[in-house]
Formats: sequence, structure tokens, C-alpha cells
Amino acid sequence: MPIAFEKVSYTYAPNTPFAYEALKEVDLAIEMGKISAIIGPTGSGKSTLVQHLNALLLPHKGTVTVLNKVINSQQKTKDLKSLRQHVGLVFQFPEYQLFEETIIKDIMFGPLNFKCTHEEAKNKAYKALSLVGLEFDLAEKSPLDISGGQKRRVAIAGILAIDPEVLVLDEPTAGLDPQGAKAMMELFVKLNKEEHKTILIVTHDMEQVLNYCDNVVVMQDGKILNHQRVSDYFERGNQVNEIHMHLPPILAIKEDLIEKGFKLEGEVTDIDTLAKSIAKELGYE
Amino acid sequence: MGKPIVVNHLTFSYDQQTDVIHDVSFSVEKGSYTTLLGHNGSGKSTIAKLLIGLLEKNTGEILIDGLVLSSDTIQLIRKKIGIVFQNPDNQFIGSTVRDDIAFGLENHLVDPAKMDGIIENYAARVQMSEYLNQEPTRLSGGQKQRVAIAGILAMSPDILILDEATSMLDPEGKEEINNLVEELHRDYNMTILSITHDIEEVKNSDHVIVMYDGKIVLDGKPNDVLNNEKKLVSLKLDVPFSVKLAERLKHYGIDIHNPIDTEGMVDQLCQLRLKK
Repeated sequence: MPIAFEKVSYTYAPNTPFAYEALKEVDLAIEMGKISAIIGPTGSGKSTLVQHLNALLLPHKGTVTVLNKVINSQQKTKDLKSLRQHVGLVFQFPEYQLFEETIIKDIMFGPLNFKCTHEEAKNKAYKALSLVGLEFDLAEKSPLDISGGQKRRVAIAGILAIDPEVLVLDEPTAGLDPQGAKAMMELFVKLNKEEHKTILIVTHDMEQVLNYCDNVVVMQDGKILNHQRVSDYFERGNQVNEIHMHLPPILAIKEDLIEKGFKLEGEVTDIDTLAKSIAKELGYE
Repeated sequence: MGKPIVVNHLTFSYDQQTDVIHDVSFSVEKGSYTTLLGHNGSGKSTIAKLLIGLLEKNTGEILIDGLVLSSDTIQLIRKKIGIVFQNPDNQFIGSTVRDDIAFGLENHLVDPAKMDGIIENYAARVQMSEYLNQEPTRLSGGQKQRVAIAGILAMSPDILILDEATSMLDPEGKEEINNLVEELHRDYNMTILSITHDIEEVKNSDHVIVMYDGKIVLDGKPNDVLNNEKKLVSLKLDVPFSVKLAERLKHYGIDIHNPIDTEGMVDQLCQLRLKK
């Protein structure tokens, strides 16, 4: 298993009065080639967890294995640089980190940093630009002159240009309008299906977990509370309430109707099957 | 009594060529909770910046409480309007929460002897009393936005503008801020103009204005605006799930009245089932 956490603990500001243990003996194995959602309340350790994946944080105890590289507290960061070529981490609101004069230069920054020639970097940047669905004629524009949604795409393209096998995104759709968010999630599905990227998404949006992700990792209080297939996870609605999050609207309505005596026949997986099943129950079909 | 915000034929462009705001007119009723909805880049935030004079219009007119916005009136108008921006990290000046709330008061030359009382009062109002001596950097996003709101309340504006104030917050932080704004609206009869993508917030507002490509395309009660799935999708927006479901139920001959109210919709379905 190429991504595994074994008894990983991490404490912020250790040995001070502000010491805060953000991860507590975490054991976790991420399935490669899938889209995994990481959910949990604020402060449950989601961001701390994902920053271990490309060794931005080193575990204080335990080991993290990423693509056959073993990361522990003894590691020298210098030895881990190559890891960042294989695991791309996109922070929250990455558009605030765009800094080059032109969009294409910004996307080329990563490949150049990993010793690509100018020509190679340019090719990779254009490929990334097309992957995220941006027009080539934007390439020479300033990243400051485009919309928020486009900026976010440029920032993600900057990571894709490095061509990592694993893509980790911390709340990639926060602040986007609904259609921008949908297009973004569809992009990740495409990268997963066509480019075979392993994708981890930290999110608060349960509808996204339901609609786009294969597996779900539930964190609470620095520990893994749950790790299973999305379909299994939502089978039992009370698991979601456990962590004070809301069910996706489709499941909330479905559960509510069942509780009020509806017998919803057939598999209800999306809005169309839900409508059909309600119509059947009401004798309208 | 005059309306707190009146905008007539407002036009704005950054480069004098392409209009970012094109012939926009709307007004906001006193004490109302108005939401401004629109896709990314539709011009919503530009409207907010024009209203508080951070950007200067090309043509048209803005009236705040009956006063025409101009370089002569801007200082007076800024005392009437408070604004909370999207990024909680970009609006802190003080090194402690207390200093931060004090900043606006100092600018408005409030008597220093009265300042502490005012600060404590509003910190309590946003439930941040115990954090007054903390550094803002140690607070959560929701807490930071509450401090920003306390700083604004301390200057007792009549109008509060929220420019996607919850879009960088997690669900808990969003709920904290939405509840607080709802209370301020109710308790102080404050006029609220909230720029948002949060469909739940729009559902609860009195009035919603929808922008598309720099123009106002819909303006009405949330019930009327949000029940039109086709129209909203064509404006790059989304409708509540219950509205989408009602749309599909219609194909089977099931008519739901006012589907933006999810509970009401479930009730209607239960009644249909009993009548079966």
C-alpha cells in the first residue's frame, strides 16, 4: 500500500504551554487510484494529516509511507524534495499564492523548480492549462486579470504541471459559485479516471462526498473515526450526525420521508431515482 | 422615510472599455435583509466597493440614506455603512482583539474614557469577551469575522454590508456568522446587504437581487426567484435541492407548492400519501 500512516502523532508547539496534539496515533491506509474525501469538524486534524503526505510536516511519532518513501521524525527535509514531485498539495485559496507576471510563467514555476528545461516546462504548463479547461489565449495574461474561479484553476494547473501521481486538495471549491464548484469537482473526477491520479480532497461539503468520492476518511479529535466506502458510509445516516455534519440534501429528504412512513422502493442513488420512487409510492407512476 | 440604499443607472469599468457594472439600478428597504447573488465575476463585489466609495463609478448615482455619494459626502456616508470582507485575515490591524475593535473608534475620535465600555459591550454582543486580550492570529475564521463585526457595530452603522463574509469559513463558522447577522438584523433593525453564494442564507432573506455579467437580471422575494431552476441554472447559479426534486416530481404529475421550503414539501408529500 503506497500511502500508509502507522501510529502517527503530531503536536504543534511541543513542550510549551500552547502544546496541542493534532494527530493522535493515526493508522490509515489510502487506496491508490481512488478519490478519497477527508471530512471532520474544524480542528479535527484534517489539514495536519494532509500536510504529512508531502512531508511539509514530519510526524513526531510513527511513520508515514508515501510511494515507498518512509517519513519519520528523523528525516532530513532535503531527502524529501523528490517526494513533492510525486505528491502535489493544493492549499485552501491557492489563488492567493499566484505571483508571476503571466499565467504561463506561474504554471511553469513548478516544473522549472524540478529541473525541467524551459521548453519542457512550457509544454507541461500548456498541457496543465488544457487539463484544467482554460483557454490558451489566457497564457500571456497576468494572473491578476482573471476571475476568482479561473485563478483557482491556474493554481491547480501549477501543481498538475509537475505531474504528481497523488493530488491532495484542501477545500478546493470554497468560495466558488455553484457551477464553478461543480466544474471543479468534475475536473478531479476526470483527472482520476483519465490520468489515473490518486486524489484526496479535504471538504465540508457532504454532497460532494456523496456525488464524487469513492472513499471517505472521517476525522475527529486527531483520530480516524471512520474509513470506508462512501456508499457504505451514507447507508447509516446516524454516522454523519455523529460528527455534527449535515446529511447531503438528497439523503436528508429520503430519510425524513422513510421516517414518516414512506416505502421508497428500488435503489435511490440520485435525484431522478428519488423522484421516481416517491411517485411510485404515491401511486403516480 | 428615505431608503437606505438607492442605486440609479450605475455603470463602472476598470479600463474605460468593458463595463464591469452596466446600467444597474436597485434599492434596499430600511431594515430589510437583502441578498445579492451571482456567479463569480458577475460584479457583486464591485457593487459593494462602489457603495462604500472604494471604487468610483463612471456614470449613474448612489444615494445612501438620501445622500448622494460624492467626495464631499463620503466621510459622512462611511459612518453609516459597515462592511465585512471575505478574507478574515485581511482585515486585522490591532495586535489584540481589543485594539482591533478600538481602531475604528479612535478614527471616529470617540472619547477614550468611553472606549473600553463600548468595546466590552460589543465584544459581549458577538460573544468574544473572553478573547479581548488575545492576538487575532490565534482565532478561528468564524471568531475573526465576529471580531470584525464587533468593530463595525462599535461605530453603530445603519447599514451592514457582507461581502461573502462566510465563504472562507467552515460550516460551524458560517452558522455562527449567519446567526449573528440574523440577530443584529432583528434586534437593531439593521439594514443588511449580503453578497453570498449560500443558498440557505438567500432562502432566509427578505429580498434577493441576482446579477449576471454586470447586470441585474432578477429582483424579488426568495420564493419567487429561487423556484425557477431553469432560469437560475442559465445564470450559472444553483437552486435548493428541494426545488430540483419538485421539478422532477412535476413530470409525474405531482405539484408541490413553494418547494424552497423543504419541510413544507415533505409535509405536502405526506398528505398526498394519506390521500392515496
